Amino acid sequence: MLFGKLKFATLLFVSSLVLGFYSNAWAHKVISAAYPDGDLIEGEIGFSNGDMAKNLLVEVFDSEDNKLGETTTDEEGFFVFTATKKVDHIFRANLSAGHVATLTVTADELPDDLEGGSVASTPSSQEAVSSEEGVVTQSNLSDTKLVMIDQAGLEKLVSKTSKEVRSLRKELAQYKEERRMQDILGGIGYILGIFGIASFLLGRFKTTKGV
Amino acid sequence: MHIVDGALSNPVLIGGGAIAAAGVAYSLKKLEPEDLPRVGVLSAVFFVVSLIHVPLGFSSVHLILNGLLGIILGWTAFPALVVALLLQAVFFGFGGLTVLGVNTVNIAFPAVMVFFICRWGITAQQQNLAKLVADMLFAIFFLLSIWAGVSLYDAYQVEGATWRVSVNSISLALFALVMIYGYVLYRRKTLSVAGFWGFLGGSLSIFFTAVMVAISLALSGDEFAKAAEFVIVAHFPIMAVEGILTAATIQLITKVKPELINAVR
Repeated sequence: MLFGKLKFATLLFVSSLVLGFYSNAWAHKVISAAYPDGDLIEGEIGFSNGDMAKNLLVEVFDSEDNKLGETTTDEEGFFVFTATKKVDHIFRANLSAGHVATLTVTADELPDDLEGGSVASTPSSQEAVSSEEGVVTQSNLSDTKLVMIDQAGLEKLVSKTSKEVRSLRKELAQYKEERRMQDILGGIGYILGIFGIASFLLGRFKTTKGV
Repeated sequence: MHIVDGALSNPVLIGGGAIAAAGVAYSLKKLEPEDLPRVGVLSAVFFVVSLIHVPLGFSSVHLILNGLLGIILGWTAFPALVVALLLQAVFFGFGGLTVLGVNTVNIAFPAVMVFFICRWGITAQQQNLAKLVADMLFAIFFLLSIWAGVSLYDAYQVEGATWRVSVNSISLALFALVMIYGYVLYRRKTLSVAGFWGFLGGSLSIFFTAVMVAISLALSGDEFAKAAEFVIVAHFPIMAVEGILTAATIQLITKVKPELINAVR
């Protein structure tokens, strides 16, 4: 027979394979993350299949819904926003078709020297650095071990560390999105449990009503 | 398919919640203790099936199977879907708690519609009448969905994103191919009449779901054409796949355990 059952199964398989070559942007879940780095807030928006949201308008609001500004994502779904106030930053992007990304960077993740932060200690320490012409000397230790780092070295160190932290944060965000087997099994367990209890209660209720 | 928190306006959320609550209340009234195992198992089926993304390219395209749920469960699809959607939202962040009502209505209401449209055909004693109606329904559905796809195809071209046009036309062509193939199988009697009704039900339910998602987005202010084109086109491949899956399942059930379907009130 031309249209036998084997062919039926084959068609199903082939059609799924053919479709498999096409990827699109209507992925199921929006993944987004923001990483504050000094007064810069970097973030990325994409879908759970790895597609990033390109050239997307991201609007920035504070916690009282006042608009702080807006930015757009680049080709890789990254956006950068420079914070000017030490308030909660809420990033919103509409990816259409029911996909909305919302990110929050809380005020205490931002540096203190921004407007609205506690600025008491910051200027003095800056002064100290600049007065020594970019050289920080720590000689107050009792064993008189001298540690000297020049400005460039310090900056290099900081940028290296923040890069590492950023990649760690990215990994963490990815890890959070992962669905694990035990979650799925747990969900099935919950469902069976809920219906088991419902069945028990309903059975008791109906029989007592019958008596 | 699962609309996320924050995408819909409050009136839509409240309206969806109210309709979902009414649906659940009504179906709980009809629910008998001996139905519960079936409801629970199909709830678990939905929970798992919409979690596992079939590598179908369209990665939002996971299976939904609300046609199958509707045909087997009828009105009791409402509590089954509420529980499964709630757990999906809590465990995996699919959808969300505030949109739970809207998502439930969008998935469960098509299931109940399919129950009323297709269960008659599956259990019909008069095979000839069932065949005739199936042919008519197939023709209407096929033309309607192709028309929807083609008119959306135009909308894409106006937008000017070429890759979307190609994705759209391929998924539309595949959908048409699968639908015609299903019809040929039915004509050659590889697919029984009940199986063909299942085929129609599986496809129809996804179509209704896509339309309802588009409507709920449109009511929240998104312009309807844009939302609809995204949602409906994205669901064309799944309409084809679910049609085949539901057809196979219903055909097997009617052969092996027909009382599973006949037991529905």
